[in-house]
Amino acid sequence: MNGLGGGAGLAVGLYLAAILGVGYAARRRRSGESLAEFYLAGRQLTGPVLLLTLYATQYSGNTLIGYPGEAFRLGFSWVMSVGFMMAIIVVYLCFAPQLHRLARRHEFVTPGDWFTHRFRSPALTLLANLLLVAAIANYLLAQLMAMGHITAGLSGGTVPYWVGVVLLTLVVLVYETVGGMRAVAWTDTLQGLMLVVGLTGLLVAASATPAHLATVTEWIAIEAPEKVAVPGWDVCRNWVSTLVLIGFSGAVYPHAIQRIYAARDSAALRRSFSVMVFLPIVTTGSVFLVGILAIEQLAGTGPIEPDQVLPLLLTQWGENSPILYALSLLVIVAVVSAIMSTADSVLLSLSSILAKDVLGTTILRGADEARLTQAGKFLSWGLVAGLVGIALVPRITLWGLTELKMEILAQVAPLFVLGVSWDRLTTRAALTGMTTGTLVYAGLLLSGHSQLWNFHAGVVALGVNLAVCITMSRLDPEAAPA
Amino acid sequence: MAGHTHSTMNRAPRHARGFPGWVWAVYLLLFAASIPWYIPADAPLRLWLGLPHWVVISLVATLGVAVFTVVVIRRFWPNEEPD
Repeated sequence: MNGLGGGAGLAVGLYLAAILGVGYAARRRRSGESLAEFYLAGRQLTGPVLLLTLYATQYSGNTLIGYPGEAFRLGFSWVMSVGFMMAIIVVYLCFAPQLHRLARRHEFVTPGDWFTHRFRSPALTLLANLLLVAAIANYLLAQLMAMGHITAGLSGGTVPYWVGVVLLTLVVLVYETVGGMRAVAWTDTLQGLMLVVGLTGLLVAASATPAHLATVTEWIAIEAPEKVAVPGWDVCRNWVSTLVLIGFSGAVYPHAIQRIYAARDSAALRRSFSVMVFLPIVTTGSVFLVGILAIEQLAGTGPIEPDQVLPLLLTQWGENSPILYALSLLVIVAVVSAIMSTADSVLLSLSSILAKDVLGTTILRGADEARLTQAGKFLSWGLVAGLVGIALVPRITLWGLTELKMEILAQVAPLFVLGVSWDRLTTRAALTGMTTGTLVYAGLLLSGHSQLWNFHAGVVALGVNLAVCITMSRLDPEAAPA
Repeated sequence: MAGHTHSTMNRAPRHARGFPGWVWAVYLLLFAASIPWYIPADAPLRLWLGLPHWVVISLVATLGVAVFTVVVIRRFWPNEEPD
């Protein structure tokens, strides 16, 4: 393939210049160097900005590159992706209203601040932070890989994978370092809007009309009937497992937790959730349809890696007509937006955890907030340098990375879901549950059981984790209701 | 310290504990309806809006989750009460 040529480079170049400008504007609005100012935009995120930053953060490069690939590979059962993205909002309802209020009252900055406030156990906070860092470093790695894939795929290999990784990462680092959360939230707003525009372009380019869909569905029913058939019990069990896994894990992303902290008031949170709950239908629903349409369109292209489905489609559309070429450019900018908006949020969150919860409690104990903020910026650059090194030698697909990250995050979910909503949860039970869940997950993974009876190992481990939390808390006589 | 128990920890806030219990039961039903476990695996292919009928049923149930969530947020969002 030849890629989309200079037009794609120009579109992405203009977009990168625009977000650097937005990042600079955000820097001018900063007031001081406090941790809450840098990492939570002074706790002043209003409804529309909060919505778009949550949206742009939650929908990553994996959504636009990995999900069409999964629909292409699995067929119509990938409609589960609409439900599991919605499950995240439902899980938010278990704890976000109360957590937002507590965060403002007690000035939480990191997820670790909640753990420390609720459980008062350094061991628990340390283990939970380790799991969060492992999971989101993995997530950041997935975004860096996505930067390389999209650049190489869309330029037809003219711009090498490594150039995409390094160039886009540098842009993220620059605007994040100068503007902190405010720059991230503002650029996310722009990126969220680009995502909506790009998805519209995607649907138009794919001509996802009922008539076209009917033709394609009938074609798939003949050529690959297993992709159209009503899912059997094995797929249904995996569907349940994926709903639980993504629902619980996606709701406790550290960067999402910090957006709950950063909301200006509960009205902003309510308005954001009320709109966000519909966005899976628009977003994952669209990429699902595109992946389905690709089954017919890319037939005869030879073996295709799932992550290459969207770049291949865009290239084919771009060759068909000037209008489709223009729509493809919109989609490219949306994909780059989705990747960068997730990468910047994850990086900022990682930096805050390492600066405040790790350095701030060890070698920089007692340091003022400006110094911790500065240390966090340096850590970001060091951390990214290491991850770029790994991203340059990819060995796993984007969806594979996502599942690993989600299954680790799931073991921390009870600290939020039960910790906020159930006052009988004891520290000993929470710590034992999280440790047991993590060990069960690691044991299953190492013994080659990534799934048990079609349930993800991480979901089985979460079940054990929750059972331990509830049983130990109920058996503790001192934890009885007052 | 790992040995800390409830006596030194902060319990979850007692006020504004969350949404009513029946809300979660409705969610369970809606999500259960979004998974086509109740449709026979050998059902013949029927197209609704160009999609297999079980996909449309799943999407309608999922849309139900979204609409119900808006109702829950508007009517049952935990009140902000002082400690």
